[in-house]
Amino acid sequence: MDDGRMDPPQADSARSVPSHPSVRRFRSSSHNTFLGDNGAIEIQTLAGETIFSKPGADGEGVWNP
Amino acid sequence: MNALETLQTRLRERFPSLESTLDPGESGTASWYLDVRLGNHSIVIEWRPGFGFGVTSGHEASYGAGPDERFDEPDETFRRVVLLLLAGAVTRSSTSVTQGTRTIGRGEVIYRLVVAFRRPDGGRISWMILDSKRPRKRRFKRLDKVIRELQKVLR
Repeated sequence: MDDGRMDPPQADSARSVPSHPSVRRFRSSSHNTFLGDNGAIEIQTLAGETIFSKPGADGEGVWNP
Repeated sequence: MNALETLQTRLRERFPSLESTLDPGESGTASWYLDVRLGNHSIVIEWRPGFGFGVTSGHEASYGAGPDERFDEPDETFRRVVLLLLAGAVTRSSTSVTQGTRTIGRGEVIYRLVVAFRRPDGGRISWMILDSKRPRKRRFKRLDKVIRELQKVLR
Protein backbone atom coordinates (compact mmCIF):
# COMPACT_ATOMS: atom_id res chain seq x y z
CA MET A 1 0.00 0.00 0.00
CA ASP A 2 1.47 3.33 -1.03
CA ASP A 3 0.26 6.03 1.31
CA GLY A 4 3.02 8.44 0.44
CA ARG A 5 5.30 7.50 3.27
CA MET A 6 8.64 5.76 2.96
CA ASP A 7 8.92 2.89 5.38
CA PRO A 8 12.52 2.20 6.40
CA PRO A 9 13.96 -1.31 6.22
CA GLN A 10 12.87 -3.47 9.11
CA ALA A 11 15.53 -5.13 11.23
CA ASP A 12 14.14 -8.61 10.71
CA SER A 13 14.26 -8.24 6.94
CA ALA A 14 18.08 -8.23 6.94
CA ARG A 15 19.73 -10.78 4.70
CA SER A 16 23.35 -11.70 4.33
CA VAL A 17 25.13 -10.97 1.05
CA PRO A 18 27.32 -13.74 -0.39
CA SER A 19 31.01 -12.79 -0.54
CA HIS A 20 30.32 -9.50 1.28
CA PRO A 21 30.21 -10.23 5.01
CA SER A 22 30.29 -6.51 5.87
CA VAL A 23 27.10 -5.80 3.88
CA ARG A 24 23.51 -6.52 4.84
CA ARG A 25 20.64 -6.54 2.37
CA PHE A 26 17.13 -5.39 3.26
CA ARG A 27 14.45 -6.53 0.85
CA SER A 28 11.21 -4.66 0.13
CA SER A 29 8.59 -5.14 -2.59
CA SER A 30 10.53 -3.59 -5.44
CA HIS A 31 13.91 -2.70 -4.00
CA ASN A 32 16.95 -3.98 -2.20
CA THR A 33 18.67 -1.69 0.29
CA PHE A 34 22.29 -2.50 1.04
CA LEU A 35 23.93 -1.23 4.21
CA GLY A 36 27.64 -1.54 4.86
CA ASP A 37 29.37 -1.76 8.20
CA ASN A 38 30.98 1.57 7.31
CA GLY A 39 27.55 3.21 7.13
CA ALA A 40 27.39 3.32 3.35
CA ILE A 41 24.00 2.81 1.75
CA GLU A 42 22.88 1.78 -1.69
CA ILE A 43 19.37 1.24 -3.00
CA GLN A 44 18.80 -0.91 -6.06
CA THR A 45 15.75 -1.94 -8.04
CA LEU A 46 15.10 -5.66 -8.30
CA ALA A 47 16.72 -5.51 -11.74
CA GLY A 48 19.92 -4.34 -10.08
CA GLU A 49 19.81 -0.70 -11.16
CA THR A 50 21.28 1.59 -8.50
CA ILE A 51 18.93 4.47 -7.78
CA PHE A 52 20.64 5.86 -4.68
CA SER A 53 24.02 5.55 -3.08
CA LYS A 54 25.84 7.33 -0.31
CA PRO A 55 29.34 6.63 0.99
CA GLY A 56 30.05 5.67 4.56
CA ALA A 57 31.97 7.53 7.23
CA ASP A 58 35.23 6.38 5.66
CA GLY A 59 34.27 7.85 2.30
CA GLU A 60 33.91 4.44 0.71
CA GLY A 61 30.83 2.90 -0.84
CA VAL A 62 28.95 -0.22 0.18
CA TRP A 63 31.06 -2.51 -1.97
CA ASN A 64 34.50 -0.94 -1.27
CA PRO A 65 34.83 -0.64 2.48
CA MET B 1 8.18 -26.38 2.91
CA ASN B 2 6.47 -23.18 3.98
CA ALA B 3 3.42 -21.49 2.48
CA LEU B 4 5.37 -19.47 -0.09
CA GLU B 5 7.44 -22.43 -1.23
CA THR B 6 4.22 -24.39 -1.69
CA LEU B 7 2.78 -21.50 -3.69
CA GLN B 8 5.88 -21.45 -5.89
CA THR B 9 5.48 -25.17 -6.59
CA ARG B 10 1.82 -24.74 -7.50
CA LEU B 11 2.56 -21.83 -9.82
CA ARG B 12 5.34 -23.76 -11.57
CA GLU B 13 2.95 -26.66 -12.12
CA ARG B 14 0.31 -24.28 -13.49
CA PHE B 15 2.77 -22.38 -15.71
CA PRO B 16 5.70 -24.61 -16.75
CA SER B 17 7.48 -21.68 -18.42
CA LEU B 18 7.23 -19.52 -15.32
CA GLU B 19 10.48 -17.98 -14.12
CA SER B 20 10.53 -17.73 -10.35
CA THR B 21 13.05 -16.73 -7.73
CA LEU B 22 12.57 -17.24 -4.02
CA ASP B 23 14.12 -14.66 -1.69
CA PRO B 24 13.89 -16.28 1.75
CA GLY B 25 13.93 -14.40 5.00
CA GLU B 26 16.69 -15.24 7.43
CA SER B 27 14.80 -14.77 10.67
CA GLY B 28 11.65 -16.49 11.81
CA THR B 29 9.52 -13.37 11.47
CA ALA B 30 10.99 -11.99 8.27
CA SER B 31 9.08 -11.61 5.03
CA TRP B 32 9.89 -14.00 2.23
CA TYR B 33 9.55 -12.84 -1.37
CA LEU B 34 8.73 -14.77 -4.50
CA ASP B 35 9.50 -12.95 -7.75
CA VAL B 36 7.72 -14.51 -10.72
CA ARG B 37 7.83 -13.63 -14.38
CA LEU B 38 5.75 -15.01 -17.23
CA GLY B 39 6.83 -13.53 -20.54
CA ASN B 40 7.21 -9.82 -19.89
CA HIS B 41 4.89 -9.74 -16.90
CA SER B 42 6.35 -9.69 -13.38
CA ILE B 43 4.69 -10.17 -10.03
CA VAL B 44 6.14 -9.87 -6.55
CA ILE B 45 4.55 -12.05 -3.87
CA GLU B 46 5.40 -11.41 -0.25
CA TRP B 47 4.69 -13.80 2.59
CA ARG B 48 5.20 -13.00 6.23
CA PRO B 49 4.63 -15.73 8.81
CA GLY B 50 1.40 -15.02 10.64
CA PHE B 51 0.44 -12.10 8.41
CA GLY B 52 -0.45 -13.74 5.10
CA PHE B 53 0.42 -12.76 1.57
CA GLY B 54 0.94 -9.56 -0.39
CA VAL B 55 0.82 -9.19 -4.17
CA THR B 56 2.14 -6.42 -6.42
CA SER B 57 1.77 -7.00 -10.14
CA GLY B 58 3.12 -5.32 -13.23
CA HIS B 59 4.76 -2.23 -11.80
CA GLU B 60 7.53 -1.08 -9.54
CA ALA B 61 6.28 -0.08 -6.11
CA SER B 62 7.46 3.10 -4.45
CA TYR B 63 10.46 2.70 -2.21
CA GLY B 64 9.48 1.02 1.03
CA ALA B 65 5.83 0.64 0.02
CA GLY B 66 3.96 -2.50 1.00
CA PRO B 67 2.12 -4.74 -1.44
CA ASP B 68 -0.90 -3.53 -3.41
CA GLU B 69 -3.15 -6.41 -2.40
CA ARG B 70 -3.23 -8.57 0.69
CA PHE B 71 -4.57 -12.07 1.18
CA ASP B 72 -4.87 -14.32 4.19
CA GLU B 73 -5.15 -17.67 2.47
CA PRO B 74 -2.77 -19.49 0.10
CA ASP B 75 -5.59 -20.64 -2.20
CA GLU B 76 -6.92 -17.12 -2.51
CA THR B 77 -3.43 -15.87 -3.32
CA PHE B 78 -2.85 -18.61 -5.88
CA ARG B 79 -6.10 -17.86 -7.71
CA ARG B 80 -5.36 -14.15 -7.79
CA VAL B 81 -1.79 -14.58 -9.06
CA VAL B 82 -2.94 -17.00 -11.76
CA LEU B 83 -5.53 -14.48 -12.89
CA LEU B 84 -2.99 -11.65 -12.92
CA LEU B 85 -0.52 -13.75 -14.92
CA LEU B 86 -3.12 -14.86 -17.45
CA ALA B 87 -4.44 -11.34 -17.92
CA GLY B 88 -1.08 -9.59 -17.63
CA ALA B 89 -2.89 -7.29 -15.25
CA VAL B 90 -1.45 -4.53 -13.12
CA THR B 91 -2.44 -4.11 -9.49
CA ARG B 92 -3.03 -0.74 -7.94
CA SER B 93 -2.39 0.49 -4.46
CA SER B 94 -5.34 -0.05 -2.18
CA THR B 95 -7.54 2.87 -1.39
CA SER B 96 -6.84 3.80 2.17
CA VAL B 97 -8.73 5.97 4.57
CA THR B 98 -6.90 6.78 7.74
CA GLN B 99 -8.85 7.90 10.74
CA GLY B 100 -6.18 7.82 13.39
CA THR B 101 -7.36 11.04 15.02
CA ARG B 102 -11.03 10.88 14.15
CA THR B 103 -13.29 11.33 17.10
CA ILE B 104 -16.42 9.35 17.80
CA GLY B 105 -18.88 9.82 20.63
CA ARG B 106 -17.37 11.83 23.43
CA GLY B 107 -14.66 13.55 21.46
CA GLU B 108 -11.79 11.41 22.57
CA VAL B 109 -8.98 10.67 20.21
CA ILE B 110 -8.91 7.15 18.88
CA TYR B 111 -5.49 5.65 18.88
CA ARG B 112 -6.34 2.97 16.40
CA LEU B 113 -6.00 3.30 12.68
CA VAL B 114 -8.79 2.21 10.41
CA VAL B 115 -7.94 1.36 6.86
CA ALA B 116 -10.69 0.87 4.34
CA PHE B 117 -9.66 -0.83 1.17
CA ARG B 118 -11.30 -1.96 -1.98
CA ARG B 119 -9.88 -4.85 -3.91
CA PRO B 120 -9.42 -3.96 -7.60
CA ASP B 121 -10.74 -7.35 -8.73
CA GLY B 122 -14.04 -7.63 -6.95
CA GLY B 123 -14.74 -4.12 -5.76
CA ARG B 124 -15.54 -5.39 -2.30
CA ILE B 125 -14.79 -2.99 0.52
CA SER B 126 -13.33 -4.28 3.72
CA TRP B 127 -11.97 -2.57 6.79
CA MET B 128 -8.88 -3.27 8.81
CA ILE B 129 -8.07 -2.09 12.28
CA LEU B 130 -4.41 -1.57 12.97
CA ASP B 131 -3.93 -1.37 16.67
CA SER B 132 -0.69 -0.22 18.20
CA LYS B 133 -1.26 -2.53 21.15
CA ARG B 134 -2.02 -5.52 18.99
CA PRO B 135 0.40 -6.00 16.11
CA ARG B 136 -1.84 -8.47 14.31
CA LYS B 137 -4.31 -6.88 11.91
CA ARG B 138 -8.00 -7.54 12.28
CA ARG B 139 -10.29 -7.39 9.28
CA PHE B 140 -13.96 -6.59 9.16
CA LYS B 141 -16.45 -6.83 6.35
CA ARG B 142 -19.08 -4.62 7.97
CA LEU B 143 -18.55 -1.01 8.93
CA ASP B 144 -20.92 -1.21 11.91
CA LYS B 145 -18.66 -3.86 13.47
CA VAL B 146 -15.66 -1.60 12.96
CA ILE B 147 -17.44 1.28 14.70
CA ARG B 148 -18.54 -0.98 17.55
CA GLU B 149 -14.97 -2.14 18.03
CA LEU B 150 -13.66 1.41 17.98
CA GLN B 151 -16.24 2.56 20.50
CA LYS B 152 -14.84 0.06 22.99
CA VAL B 153 -11.76 2.23 23.06
CA LEU B 154 -13.80 5.16 24.33
CA ARG B 155 -15.30 3.37 27.26
